[in-house]
Amino acid sequence: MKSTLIKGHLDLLLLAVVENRPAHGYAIIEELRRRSAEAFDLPEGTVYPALHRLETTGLLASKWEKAGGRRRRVYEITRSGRSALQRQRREWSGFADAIRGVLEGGAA
Amino acid sequence: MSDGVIGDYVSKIEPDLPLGRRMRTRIKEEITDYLHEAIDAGIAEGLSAADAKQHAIERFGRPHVVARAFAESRGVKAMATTFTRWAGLMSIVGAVLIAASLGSQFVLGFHQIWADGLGGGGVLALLIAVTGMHFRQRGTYGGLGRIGFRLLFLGFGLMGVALPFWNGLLFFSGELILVAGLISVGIASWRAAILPRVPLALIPLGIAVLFLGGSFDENTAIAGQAADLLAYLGIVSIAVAFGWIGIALWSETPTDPSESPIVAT
Repeated sequence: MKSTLIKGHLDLLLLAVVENRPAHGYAIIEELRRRSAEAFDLPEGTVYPALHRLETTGLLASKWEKAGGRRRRVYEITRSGRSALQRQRREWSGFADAIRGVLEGGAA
Repeated sequence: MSDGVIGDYVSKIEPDLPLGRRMRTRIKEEITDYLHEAIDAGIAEGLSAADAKQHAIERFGRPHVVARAFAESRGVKAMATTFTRWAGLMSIVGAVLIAASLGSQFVLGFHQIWADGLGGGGVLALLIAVTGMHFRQRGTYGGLGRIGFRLLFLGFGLMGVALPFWNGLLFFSGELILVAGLISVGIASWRAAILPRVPLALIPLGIAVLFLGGSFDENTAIAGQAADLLAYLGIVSIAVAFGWIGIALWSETPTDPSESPIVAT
């Protein structure tokens, strides 16, 4: 899938991935790939900055954890992030319904 | 697993991260951790170690593009740009002009240096250079750097206004403000660690020697030539410092806006 189609929705996708469980960058990227059946296969250099941006805006929080002799930055959703995720889910649902309506000929 | 390849890749990203030291360290650690996992996963899938490394690094992205994405994610726009690169060239030009002015004035005497066109052109070139240095660091060197930059231009402006009217008090005030600005920018630049640190240390040293030479000439019995020598050393130090910084800025690869990766809503 063209990565340009994902632009505008990356925040929603990343928040959804960490909604139920904190995860580090690699796990987030792999989960995104798995859930989308490999349709969303973004360059990793774009995902990490997005995680940083979500943290800067207070939607994610992060902390260091030890893993295999290295330090690993783990991200988890904040309360603000959950609110934002709920709002963006509603918006996306409405958007998807509208697109589907147009593509399938509209309401009777 | 070789850390050399990962280290080389990460080292190419760091210079283009216009962020504080702590954030740069964190980003390097995160990228390193990711690449280790990606390479291990690639090997587990049957790739050779070399192929796994290459694949992981290529997937992560070109260093300066990744750096720009991180900078934008933190709301920082200060990157190496065409302007900062050309400002580096002006820094080199300014340093050369000032050194040439110094040489041409050697026979005529230090006190006439500012009347010399070479010196004046050199100062103007350095003002452009300092502006470029500011833009290169503004996201990283914080409030002290930004205030220092403004003081620099305020001080220079006051000196420029005072000079035609031979207003000694205003000129001296401008000098003090200019020096305060240079010191502030110098400290902030040192902490930001984007520009090379040796020339950043040379600038205040050169200023101190320059002022020392100037004060000795007026107030003590030290021979005029010795006082002039101190002033020359001070100016040469400053010129060398700006030339050095100019080479560093000119050598950077400007980021290309068309390469901006997807990081947005």
